[in-house]
Amino acid sequence: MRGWGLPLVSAAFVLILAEATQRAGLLPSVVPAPSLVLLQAWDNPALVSNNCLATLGTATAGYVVAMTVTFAASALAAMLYRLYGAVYNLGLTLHAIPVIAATPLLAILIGGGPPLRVLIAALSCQFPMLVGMMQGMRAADSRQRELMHVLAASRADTWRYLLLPAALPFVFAGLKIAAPSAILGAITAEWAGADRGVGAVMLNALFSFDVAKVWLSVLLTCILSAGTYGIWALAESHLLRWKISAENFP
Amino acid sequence: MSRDIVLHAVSMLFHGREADLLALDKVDLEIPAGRFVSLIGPSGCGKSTLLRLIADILKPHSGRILLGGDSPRAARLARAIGVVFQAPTLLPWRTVRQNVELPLKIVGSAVARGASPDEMIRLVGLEGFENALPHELSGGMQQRAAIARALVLRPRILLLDEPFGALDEITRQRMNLELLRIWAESGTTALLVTHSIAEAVFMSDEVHIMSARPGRITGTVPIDLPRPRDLAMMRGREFFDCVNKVRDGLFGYEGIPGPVPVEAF
Repeated sequence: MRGWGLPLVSAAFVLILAEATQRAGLLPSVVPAPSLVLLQAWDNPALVSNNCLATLGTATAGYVVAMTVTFAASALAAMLYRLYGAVYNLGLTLHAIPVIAATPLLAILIGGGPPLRVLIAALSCQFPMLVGMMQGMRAADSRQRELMHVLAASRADTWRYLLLPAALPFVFAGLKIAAPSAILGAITAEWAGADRGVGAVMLNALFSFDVAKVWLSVLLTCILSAGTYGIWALAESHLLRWKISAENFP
Repeated sequence: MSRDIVLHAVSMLFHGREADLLALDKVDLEIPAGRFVSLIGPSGCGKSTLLRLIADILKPHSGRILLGGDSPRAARLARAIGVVFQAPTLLPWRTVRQNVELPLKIVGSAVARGASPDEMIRLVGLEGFENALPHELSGGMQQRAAIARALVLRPRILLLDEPFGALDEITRQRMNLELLRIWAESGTTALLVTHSIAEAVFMSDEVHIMSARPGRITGTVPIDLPRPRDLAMMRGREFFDCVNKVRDGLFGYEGIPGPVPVEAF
């Protein structure tokens, strides 16, 4: 756990500073004392866990859908190179649509239930995944491909021994970046009318001007985003030891 | 003695953006089995192209190539060819042993003719580094691992495309000596592409000289130095006679009067 000292110390410093300045009456009322926000969570553990689980469920479902679709699309593009540009452009176009505008339109189209929220989460996180996979599948250089040719490797063996391992660093970069996007997508979708979820808590708190609860929902969003990113970073550091070792080599 | 590599009127044409480039023009070449033969020539003379045609990486525009009576494709599919590229081209996520093992993994357990990876690693002098990743090795050591990988299936033909071109002079001399020892032990037919006259003479039984645009074999110098070769021979009269013959073959052909830049050393 190297390198955690400084971030922890600086976070503690900011919290203490906010607490002190708020108590001294130096901060506006929209910035509550951190203790007040944490007290909200302490008093209402069910509020935190229920809504976090709902958002996490939606985000995970969307993430898995996006992973499946982008993997299929990039595998198709890798096999049929003619489709490469089309797949890329489609992913980019979908990514460029503002989620906040698309959500009500999609709600009219497919209704406002869980499928809508999963779809929005999937749309929000698909592009970094797609870029990672598309770049990754082209990561093996021509020399390495020539080597597999000289060894008369089958297509399956070329994938297994060269193309997939070469793709992994790019794929992991995409998966890491996509994780917080899935959480943010799920929360945005919850604004379109969900009875549970961090997004629902956020919206209710905003309308009832419950400042501490708004901040709590922001805090929970950050924790979920950073946490899902961290899970992939951890998986990466275990699976790609060679890459990290090569990057840190003198 | 049987002929292992036979090229008959092999031409190679590259389609350029503006004009076609005749990279090789009716090249004839015969290499007896078990020999060490070099191709030498200036950059762009098509010597690497010739090697890649033999390795079945490229297809000739016309002419015939036979490797022990088979087409290059058949020889490649039978894993009769080992290739060492200019760059080591090791897979960075595999350890030295896993890289050397790769050809065995691809061939599968059906073919039992392969050497053990550890035996090959010992042959190239990398024992103790079996579990190292490529980036932890020096350039020379990486190329040793690549040679071990090329030999692990016991190929009949070993193709070497300027394998030590990126190494410093001292490492290069040492690697040349090592390569001769490995070649003598493995009993393969070796074809080395190089642009160093001294290296070509020191290593080979025969040096074929190539000229550029279009690529042609313009001369052959037999090297009658005894084997095993050692560095002391590089000071001998016979060695210099051979070096001079190769140099005359390279620069005499162009017919440029006056001093010419010697890039070969």
